[in-house]
Amino acid sequence: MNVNRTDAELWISFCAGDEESFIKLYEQYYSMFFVWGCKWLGGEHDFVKDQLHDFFIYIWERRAKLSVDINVKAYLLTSFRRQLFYQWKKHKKIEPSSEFTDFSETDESELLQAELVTEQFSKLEKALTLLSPAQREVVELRFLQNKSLQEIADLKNTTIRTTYNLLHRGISKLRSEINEKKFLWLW
Amino acid sequence: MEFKSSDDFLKNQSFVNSCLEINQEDVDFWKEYASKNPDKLPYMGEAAELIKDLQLLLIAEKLKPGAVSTLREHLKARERKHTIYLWKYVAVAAAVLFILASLVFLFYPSKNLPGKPELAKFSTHKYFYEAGTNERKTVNLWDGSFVILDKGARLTIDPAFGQSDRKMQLSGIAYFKVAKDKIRPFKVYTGKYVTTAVGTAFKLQANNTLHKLKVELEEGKVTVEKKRGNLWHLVATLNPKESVTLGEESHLPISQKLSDREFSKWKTQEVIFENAPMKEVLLQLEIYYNVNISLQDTTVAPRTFNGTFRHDSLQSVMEMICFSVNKQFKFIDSNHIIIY
Repeated sequence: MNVNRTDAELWISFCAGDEESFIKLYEQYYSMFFVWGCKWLGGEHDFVKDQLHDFFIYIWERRAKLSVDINVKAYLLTSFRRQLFYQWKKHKKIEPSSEFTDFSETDESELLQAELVTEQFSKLEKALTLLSPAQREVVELRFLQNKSLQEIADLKNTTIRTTYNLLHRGISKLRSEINEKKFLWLW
Repeated sequence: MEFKSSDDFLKNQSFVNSCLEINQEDVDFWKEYASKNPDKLPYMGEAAELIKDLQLLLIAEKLKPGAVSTLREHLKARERKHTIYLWKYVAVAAAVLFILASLVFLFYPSKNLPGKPELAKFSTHKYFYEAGTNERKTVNLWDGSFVILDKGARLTIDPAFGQSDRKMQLSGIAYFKVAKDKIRPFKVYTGKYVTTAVGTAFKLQANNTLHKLKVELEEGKVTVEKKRGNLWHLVATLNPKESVTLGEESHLPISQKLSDREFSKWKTQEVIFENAPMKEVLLQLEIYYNVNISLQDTTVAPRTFNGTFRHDSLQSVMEMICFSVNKQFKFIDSNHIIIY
C-alpha cells in the first residue's frame, strides 16, 4: 500500500485510470473544497455537496484528456470554482457567463491566489487533529451542533467552567497554528 | 467589556452565538455594537470568519466518509453499466418487460409499505438464528426480509435460499416481514406444515412436537399446506387480518379476525437495537409500527444505536431517537413521519 504519495504522483496515476488514486484525491481535497464552495456561495451546503460529487465524476470521465504536468491543488480548486459558479447560475436561472470554456485554461493570478489560500486551510485542518479528543468534541458540539455552554456541560455531565476551559484551549490551539497576520480567508 | 483582539470576541459566548445565528437578540446586539465601534470591526471580522470556517470544516469532516463511499458506489455502477450495454438485445427485451410491468403496477397500486430490500444491506448472512430464553432476536435476511424471533425461537435457513425459492425451518414463535419476490416463494417449514408467502407480513406460532401451528396474517396472502405421506395438501389460504389455528385433532381450521393494533402490540413487546445504524433502525421501526418514516438530513444516517424499547409507543421511541441525534420529528398524518 502506498503511503504519503505526493499530489503529483496521485494525479499521474489518476489520469492513467487508477481508481484508488482517484478516491485518495477525493479524500484529500474533500473538506477543503466543501469549505471553499460554501464560502463562495455563502452557505448552500447541499448544493455544494452535490456539485463536489459531480465535479469529481466529471474529471474522472475526462481524465485521459487532462494535462499531467500541473499544480494539482490550484488547478482543481480553480476548476471546481468555475464549475460551481456555472452550475449555480444555471440553478438560479441566471444567464451563465460564456467564459466557461475548456478546463485546461487557467488564469495565472487565480492559481497564485489558490496557492496562498489553501496553505491557510491546510493549517486549520491539521490544527484540528492536534486537539485532544475532549477539546475536539466540545468544539464540535459548539460549532457543529450549535449547543450552548450550558447544554454541553449538561450533556457531558460536567461544569460550565470545565466546558469553557476545554473550548477556550481548543480554539487557542487552533489560532496559534494559523498565521495570525495573514488572515486571508476572504477570497 | 474590553475587546482588544479577535481572541476576546471568540471568548464571548454571545458573540459566538450571533455568528452561529442561534438567536436574534445576540445578532441584533452585535450588529449595533459593530456600528458603534467601527474600529473593532477587523477583530470581529477575523473572529467571525474563523468561527464560520470552523463550522464548515466540521461539517465537511462529517460528510466525508459518506461522500467517499457514494463515489465508490458510483464508480462500481458505471462499471456494471458498461458490461450490460454489450447485451443490446437483452436490454431492449428488459425495457419492454419493464414498461409492461409498470403499466400493471399503475393499475394495481400496492397498498403495502414500500418493499424493504434496503434492509438486505444489514443482513449477517448466516444460516442459523436462535433467540435466547429471555430475549428476542431480529434477523435481517439477505433478500431484505425481516424476522422477529420470539424468546426461544429457532430459525434454520436452507442453503439454497434465494436461488429458486426461499426456504427455512422454524420452531417457536416468529414474525416475518417478507421482501417482495414473486419468483422466489418464501416458505417457512414448521413440523408437518409449510406456510408460503410472496411479499407479506405474518406471524407464526409453531409447536412442532405437538403438531400445532397458528398463523396470523398481517398483510398480503399466505397459503398453508400439510404434509401427508409424500404429498402436500393445501389446508388454508389466508387473507389479511385473518388467522388460523391448526392442530392434530381438528380437521377444520379455526379462523379469527385480527387487528393492526394486536399485531403492533405483539411486535413492539420488545424492540432491541444493537449497534444498529440509523438507517436500519428506521427501516425496522417502519415494520414494527406500520408507518413510513423519512429522514431529511442524511448526515445522521451513519449514527448507531443501542437500546431496548418495551411496549413503548411510537411517539416515545421517536422522541428518544430524535433526542440522541439532535433532530425533531413530526407526524404528517397518522402513518407518515418526517425527521428534520
